[in-house]
Amino acid sequence: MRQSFRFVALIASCAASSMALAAGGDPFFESTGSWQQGYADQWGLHRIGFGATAETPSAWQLAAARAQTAQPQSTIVAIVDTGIDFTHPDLARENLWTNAAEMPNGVDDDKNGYIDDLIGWNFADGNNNPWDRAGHGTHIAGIVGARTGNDVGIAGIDPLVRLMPLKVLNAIGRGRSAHIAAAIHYAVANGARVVNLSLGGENLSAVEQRAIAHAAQAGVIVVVAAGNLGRDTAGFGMADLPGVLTVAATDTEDRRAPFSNFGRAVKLAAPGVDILSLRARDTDLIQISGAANYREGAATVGNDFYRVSGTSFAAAMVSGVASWLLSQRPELTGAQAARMIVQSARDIGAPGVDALTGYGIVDARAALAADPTFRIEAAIADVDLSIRDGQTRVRVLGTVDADRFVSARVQAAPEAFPQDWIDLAPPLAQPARNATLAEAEPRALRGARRWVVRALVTHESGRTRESRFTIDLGEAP
Amino acid sequence: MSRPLALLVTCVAVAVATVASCSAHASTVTLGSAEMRSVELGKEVDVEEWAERNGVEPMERVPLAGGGSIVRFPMDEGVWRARSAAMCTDNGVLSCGTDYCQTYFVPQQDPAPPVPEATATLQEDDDDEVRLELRLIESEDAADQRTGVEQTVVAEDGRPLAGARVLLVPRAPPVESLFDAGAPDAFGQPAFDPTKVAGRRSCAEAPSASKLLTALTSDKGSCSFPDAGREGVDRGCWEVITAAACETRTQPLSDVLPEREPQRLLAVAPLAGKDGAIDPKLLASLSQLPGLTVLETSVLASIGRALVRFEVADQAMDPQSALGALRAIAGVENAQHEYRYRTAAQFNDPYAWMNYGARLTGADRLLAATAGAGVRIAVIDSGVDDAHPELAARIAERIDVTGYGLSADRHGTAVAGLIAAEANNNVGAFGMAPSASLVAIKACEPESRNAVVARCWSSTIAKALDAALARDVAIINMSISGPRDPLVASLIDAALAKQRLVVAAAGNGGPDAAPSFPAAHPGVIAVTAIDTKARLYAQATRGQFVDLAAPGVEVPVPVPGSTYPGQLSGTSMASAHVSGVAALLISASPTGAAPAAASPQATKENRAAALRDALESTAVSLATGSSDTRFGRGRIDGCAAARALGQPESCAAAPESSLAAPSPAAPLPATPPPAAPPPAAPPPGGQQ
Repeated sequence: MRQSFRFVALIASCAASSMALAAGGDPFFESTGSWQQGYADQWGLHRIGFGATAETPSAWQLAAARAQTAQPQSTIVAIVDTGIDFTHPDLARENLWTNAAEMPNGVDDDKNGYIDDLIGWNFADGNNNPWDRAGHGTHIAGIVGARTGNDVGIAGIDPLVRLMPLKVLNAIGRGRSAHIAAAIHYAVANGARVVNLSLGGENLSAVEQRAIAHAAQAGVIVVVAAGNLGRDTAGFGMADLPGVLTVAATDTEDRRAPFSNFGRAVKLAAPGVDILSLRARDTDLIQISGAANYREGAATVGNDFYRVSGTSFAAAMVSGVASWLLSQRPELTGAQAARMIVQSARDIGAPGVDALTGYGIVDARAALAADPTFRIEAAIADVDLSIRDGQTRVRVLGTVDADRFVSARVQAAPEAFPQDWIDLAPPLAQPARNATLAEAEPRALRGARRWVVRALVTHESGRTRESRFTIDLGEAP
Repeated sequence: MSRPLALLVTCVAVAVATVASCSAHASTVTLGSAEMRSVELGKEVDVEEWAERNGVEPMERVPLAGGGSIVRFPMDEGVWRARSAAMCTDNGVLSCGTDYCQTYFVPQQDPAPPVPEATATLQEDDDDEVRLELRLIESEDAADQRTGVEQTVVAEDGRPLAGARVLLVPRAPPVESLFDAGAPDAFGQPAFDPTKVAGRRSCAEAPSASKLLTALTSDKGSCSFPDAGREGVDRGCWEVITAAACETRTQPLSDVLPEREPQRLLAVAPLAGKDGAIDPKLLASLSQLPGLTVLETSVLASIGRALVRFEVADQAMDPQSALGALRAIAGVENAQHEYRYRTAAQFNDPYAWMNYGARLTGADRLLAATAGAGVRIAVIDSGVDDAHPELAARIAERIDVTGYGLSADRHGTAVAGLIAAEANNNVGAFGMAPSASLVAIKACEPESRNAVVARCWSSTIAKALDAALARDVAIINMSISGPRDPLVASLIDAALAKQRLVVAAAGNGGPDAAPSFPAAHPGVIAVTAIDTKARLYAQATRGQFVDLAAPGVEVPVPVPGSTYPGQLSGTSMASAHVSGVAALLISASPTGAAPAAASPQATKENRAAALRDALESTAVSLATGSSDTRFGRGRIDGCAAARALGQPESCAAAPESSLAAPSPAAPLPATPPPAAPPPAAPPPGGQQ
């Protein structure tokens, strides 16, 4: 049955304009409880701005209204992963990147070193067929760009995306650094504006590091999953690199998922628990990954769809929003788009930027409306404590900066009375990066064993952002 | 439509017992003695020269789309520590370090699964090179009866590797099929008329697996799929994938189990009467067999037999008992499956990375004396592009026996071009015998319009051989491989009896595949493929049946509808080289073989055998012994063969200086690269 159905999806609709519409009929976008859960099947998309309510239009509707005056453009997103099931019924042919400079003839027409790289490349096996044997890459691809408004399956985030499958991981999700690096170079050379890297590990090779730096330098947004080990991203491979968007996963209650890595390198978070997307033909991702106590087929929904958790899929949400934002506002540079996404994230957890979920959960509506230049950075990197003559001395290190900086305050309060902020230093009139922000002996806090330190930056617009750091002095001596 | 298939996996119990669930399983710590390194080189660096200077044997070269490349190679920690400082600061090195085995992050289930009661065994990642051995489970002695696959995985040092993941999965649809204009679906399957064609050309209707067929290898390193190839399973549409850490091996099920057209049978009967047709009474009784429908009857004049093609009605009768019923009918000489074959080439082999023009020893010097004029070669293959400027004047005749119709296909055009493409026409020069003429017999249909791989069948190959034997061809080239077939074997025997030289590809099944047919048939020259440094093509099938080695790794070939060369690898290419050189030797000596030490009694009656003896006895050994399972007698040497055939004048020219960068292992005498430099102008757009 699936085959005939699939081809309908392949030949239909060549008009880009029809794709720019908001999600019409995507059954799983509208439905709830398809696997007896108490939340929307595509809760993640609803949570990041793609659900419409009576009061609030969806991000797609906002974009459609905007598109009457603006000129949306397709964005190429490289999925560096296990490949993509390019015959999936809910993946449109026009959402697959096609190499216009290559023909199916056994000749390297575009002389890029890859023969017949028609829709991407399989670096893992050294051929032109990036077929997905594990199901991971297809799931990611569906989050970013499943066909939207086609009365089939799920909605993808960016209806205009062109997905470039670059297969680097084998049937059990393993792959070589050299292939990952080559795939990133391929993405950059072939016009990808976003590279999704839902992979990694403790180690990072020199070739990968150079490839990612090359991508960042070329203005390509590199989105990296924080990892599922529940650990700090410090020293955790590419997630810890500067210049990438490292994404943590959140659950249906907007809490960091317990498995999600965290840390200073985490820029933002996105839904990553029980995420419904595409199932690659003949795959069962959780089973092939060797999860214990998994009943075969348990995560499959309606044969062609699959639900699974992980920071991989949170990263895909961010890649999708980045793609969608660049499609709607193609004039933006990658750096601008990345900044807009981070700066407009919806804060969760501790107020302000924190080490668990960074700036918060990605918010498509806010990202579309964001000012490309707007930026407030508040980050406490560390707090040094020293005790001299019975007096606790505090040194606060970090960054306070903004594109139109007004002032910054560095304050502390006993954790029990968080509203009683006292200044640790006079307000800073100048931005500071990776510097000592304050040095003080806060007498007012004497006696408290747990303090909260914060850096609060005020922008010319009146908006503020803070970053908090909790100090625990332990039991009183 | 597609029916999901339920197949068995026997290692399920084992698999459950050894599955590791701990998130530490995702660790990418690299163990093992042979750690991998990767080095990024700038675009100005000569990779081969760099590798030699730094004493590394690159396992893979990954081109970078923006220029330059990444070279990946194994190097033990101690050696690396001693040499990395110098290596990594060598000119042109952009980045340099250990190449890790990265992973996706183990997907989490939700809600979180209960804590496992039994302690799971945590399998440490093992980065040793993995070697796979495929063994057959033979439920009976006949290869036809095989249905199961047992997979054994061993590490580099030979110890069994437990915990390797083995999957039995439907083949991936070709990407090219997405570009088939007007194709009815992503696999490019046209309407299927079994009375006109021998079988399906693609896996368009291959069933999806009803469940994931996967297992982990046991402590003995093995696991099995006992009914992987049972009746009803299209063995050409499945593959076995084995993965251990970063190493992956993909093996088509058809390399392990004889591939055949499901629901098709053949019967062979002697021709009756003087008019040479099938006995009408026999045909009548064949037509009345329950559950069998006669699709077609044809005459194979060269062996004096009639061929009857049957369809086995779905579920009416199992093909094994149908075969028994057919054989029981008086007048039926034999009954068999409609076996399936494949053209033996693919592009872009990951293990072979050095570009080179095909260099065939002696061909250039033989060309000084002869160009194969007057020699006719039958190319049994997929369709040949007769409008290609390289081939237009070389093709004497084109014949289609597939029923799919004449077409210009990639594999057939490549093979034809390697044998006889025009010389000196500024389009590219691929042909070994550029004045020979070709009878292009299409017996194979590409799996999709642009696919290199094409399917052929017992009945089409039989008809093709019959057509070749009805014509005056001296050489029959078969760059195809598949299972042993009695019908095809009888036609090959007829060809050999008529002193036709039969050359076939050794197959691309890799080290573990069974001997491929027709290459392994006695009297057929089985040709394996080597690269520019005389290293074996990694995917070549090994075995005692291998006779000769010839270039077959990343060989420039003509492409249908394009004046720009493509590139293919495979024993198909090697076979074509041997056929081309053989044509030169024949045309140098009109009798085909003059008396010589090797064959003092060579006459017209044994000229093919004499030529075969000369080619094999003069081959340059590439192994320590005189013959081995990889290279056979060794690399073909056209000049030495000419001398053995008493044609010293054919190679009068003095040997030229050796290659610019000779390999110490097996230097090849210099030949000008047959591939002309690419045309200065870029290829015109929209050639298709």
